[in-house]
Amino acid sequence: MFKYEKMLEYPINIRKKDLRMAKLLMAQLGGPDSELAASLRYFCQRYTMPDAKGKALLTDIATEEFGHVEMIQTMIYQLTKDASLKELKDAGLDNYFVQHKKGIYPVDASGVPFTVSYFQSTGDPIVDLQEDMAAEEKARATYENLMDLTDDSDLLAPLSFLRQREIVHFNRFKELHDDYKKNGLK
Amino acid sequence: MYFDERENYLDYVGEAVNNYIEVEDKDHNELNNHETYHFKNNKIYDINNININNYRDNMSIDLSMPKDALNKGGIFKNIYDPYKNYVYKVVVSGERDELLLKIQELTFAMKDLGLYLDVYPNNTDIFDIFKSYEKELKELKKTYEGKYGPLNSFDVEGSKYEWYLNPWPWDKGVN
Repeated sequence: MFKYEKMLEYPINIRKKDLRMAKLLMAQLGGPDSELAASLRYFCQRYTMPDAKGKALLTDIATEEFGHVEMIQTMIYQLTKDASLKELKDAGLDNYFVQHKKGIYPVDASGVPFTVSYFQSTGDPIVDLQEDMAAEEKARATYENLMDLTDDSDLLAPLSFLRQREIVHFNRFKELHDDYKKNGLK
Repeated sequence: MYFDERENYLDYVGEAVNNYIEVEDKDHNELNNHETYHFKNNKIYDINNININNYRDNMSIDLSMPKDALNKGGIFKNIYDPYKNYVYKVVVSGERDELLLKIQELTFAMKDLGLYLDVYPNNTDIFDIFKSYEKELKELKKTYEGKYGPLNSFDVEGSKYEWYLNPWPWDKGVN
């Protein structure tokens, strides 16, 4: 069961409207290496983890990733909130607008809708954890690309936070993976 | 490997040299691929495995304070690796947002320690810190909820149903 906490994991308050960045941030909402893919991936994989540590770690990281989905959605919402139709059109968001207006919908930076075929749940803990480690690294690289594309510190601060979380998660997955490799699956 | 290989390696060498006592098998003079050593903290180290993160259980672990941890995106100093030296500090204004920020800092510190404890559940040092933050967080939440309404739909501190009220976390201009 889940309980909602009425706060973000990290405060977000974006003052400057930036539709270009809103469009690019979609990569981390509905893209292949997005927070949504990460969250669903770990939620699906946790059932076949071989011991208590694995079940706990995947549950906890999946839950945190869902909080990151909320952070990315908040950024996109705040970046687009005050945009006019003309501004959306100029930023190349008219094809988004025609189906969603300013609704938050998981697509990638090119407008391709989210699909669960972005991730696997193989039932094999070693295979799943190796996918998880790769996923964290891909998301880290995406955050670095996003950070290279903006100079707004209201955006850079949460992006830098989210990037560091990928590194922490990678390390925890790796530690669990190495533990299973070394000591065998219980 | 992407993560702080460089820092960990140095750390590992330092710890290993300082804590070294004796080779487990005294008759065995040659190093082989499965050599193990006993260190002062009674843990067995596989010298061929360079991933120091496997052995962090009982080593001294440097932690940031909760405020700094939220700014950085992690409480464990050993795996902090900023991009292009970008470092940001969260600044909020107003009594409500400042109180909420303290709650966010402690929640985050506990979250990050929790992930560590999932993998290393027997680390009592970390668990003690985890417990102390939990106590602090409980007090802060009570204060916040008494003044500004519930953070969780099952929490009741006031006399009316206030869960539904604005602001919601994504609203502009609030923390």
